[in-house]
Amino acid sequence: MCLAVLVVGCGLAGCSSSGTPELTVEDVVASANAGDLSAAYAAITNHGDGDDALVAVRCSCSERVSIHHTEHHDGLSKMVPTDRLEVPAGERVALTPGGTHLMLEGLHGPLAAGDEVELTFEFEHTGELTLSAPIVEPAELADRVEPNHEGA
Amino acid sequence: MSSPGAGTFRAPASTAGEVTEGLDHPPAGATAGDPARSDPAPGDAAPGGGAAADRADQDARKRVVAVVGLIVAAAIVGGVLALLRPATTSASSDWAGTVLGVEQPKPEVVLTDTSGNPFDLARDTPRPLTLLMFGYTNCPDVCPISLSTLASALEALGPEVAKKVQMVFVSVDPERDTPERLREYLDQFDPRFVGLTGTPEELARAQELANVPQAFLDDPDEDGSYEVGHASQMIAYQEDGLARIVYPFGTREGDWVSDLPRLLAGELPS
Repeated sequence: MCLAVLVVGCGLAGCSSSGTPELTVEDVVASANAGDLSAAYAAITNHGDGDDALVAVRCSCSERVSIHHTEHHDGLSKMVPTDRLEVPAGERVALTPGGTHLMLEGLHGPLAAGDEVELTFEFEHTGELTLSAPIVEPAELADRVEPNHEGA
Repeated sequence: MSSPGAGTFRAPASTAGEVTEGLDHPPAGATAGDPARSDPAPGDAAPGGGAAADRADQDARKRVVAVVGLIVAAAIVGGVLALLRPATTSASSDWAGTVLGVEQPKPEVVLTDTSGNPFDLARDTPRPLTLLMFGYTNCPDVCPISLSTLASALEALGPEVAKKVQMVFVSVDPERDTPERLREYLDQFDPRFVGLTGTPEELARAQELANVPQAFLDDPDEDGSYEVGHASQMIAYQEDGLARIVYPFGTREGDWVSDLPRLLAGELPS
C-alpha cells in the first residue's frame, strides 16, 4: 500500500507536552450512499510518543462530516455524535461499521461504487491530511464489522 | 495534498522511529506470564544449603498453585461468560446465525406498505422464508450494510432462491420515513424488499411480537435531526411462520449464502 508521508509542524498550538504524535491514516473507504447520507471508515495509527485527537473531518462530497460512535446496549444499536476522537500515543484507532465512524451528511450528489471522494482529516496537534477514499458498496463493508461487538 | 487510501504524518522533531521499532517487537513483559518459564529446573535450587533448596521448592509449588489457580480462574470466567451469553446461543451450532432456544411466531400485526396499503405481516408474507428487520432510512451504517449484504447474497444465490425470500424492513421512524422515502431507500438495495411503517403504537406492537427491544427516538437537535436506537438483527421466519434463528449485524454474505438454502430446504436450526 502506498503511504503518503507528510511533514507537518506542530503549529502555534504546540505539541502535547509529552512528545510528538506521528499519525498514519489508512484503509480509508466511503460507502455508496443509501438515501441522503453515507459513511466513511479508516484506521488511524499514532506511532509517535505524543497524544493527538481527530477533531474534524471534511469531504468533497458532502456539506458535513460528523464523527459518530454506534453504541450497542441491551440489543439496541444507536449512534452518538462525538466532537473528537482521541488518538493516544502508540495506539491504533479504527473507524469501523457498527463502531466509531464518519457520517457524511448533506451529500452533494450520489456516491457511486468505483468512484472516489476526498476526505480531509483534521487533527488537534498534527494538522490536516487529505486522502482519496474509494467508494464501495455497503455489502463490501460487512467484513469490517468487528465480530461480537454487540455481545449478543 | 492527496494520496489514495493512506497517509502518514511525521512531525519534524519526532522520535517515532524508536517507538515504531519498539512496536515491531513484543515488549519483554509479553512473555512474563509464560508458565513454561516458571517451571523450576531441578538444578535451579540455590547452592549452599537445604533451606534455600526448600524455599526454591516451595516457590516452585507456589508457582504451580498459581498456574493451576489461573487455569481454574480462567475456567470460571469462561463458564460465567458462557452463562452470560444469551440462552439462545448454541455454541456447537453449524449455523452462521444465532439459533434461538425457542420458536417465535411471525408477528400478527397490520402495518402500512410503501404504496400506502395495509400489510398484514403474518399473512402477506407467503414466501418460504421471511427476513424481518427494524431500522430507519437515516441510518448510514448498520442498516445499509445489513441490507446491501443480504442483497448481494441473494444475487449470488440466483433468482430461483431469491424469489423464495421476502425481506421486510420496518421503519421505526415514521415521522421521517414516509412510504415514498422508504421505497426509494429500499430500491437502492433490491426493489423486491418490502418496506413497512405504521403508527408508533403499531410499531411498538410489531417489535413486542418480534421479541426485539423497543426502538427509541432521541430529542431533535437544533437542526431538527435526531438519532434512533433500534434492534439490528434480522429475524428469519420459515415456511411454518416460526423463527428459530436470527442474524446479528455483521453477518457476512458468505454466511447468508450458506444458511439461506438450508432454511429454504426446511432444515430447522437447533
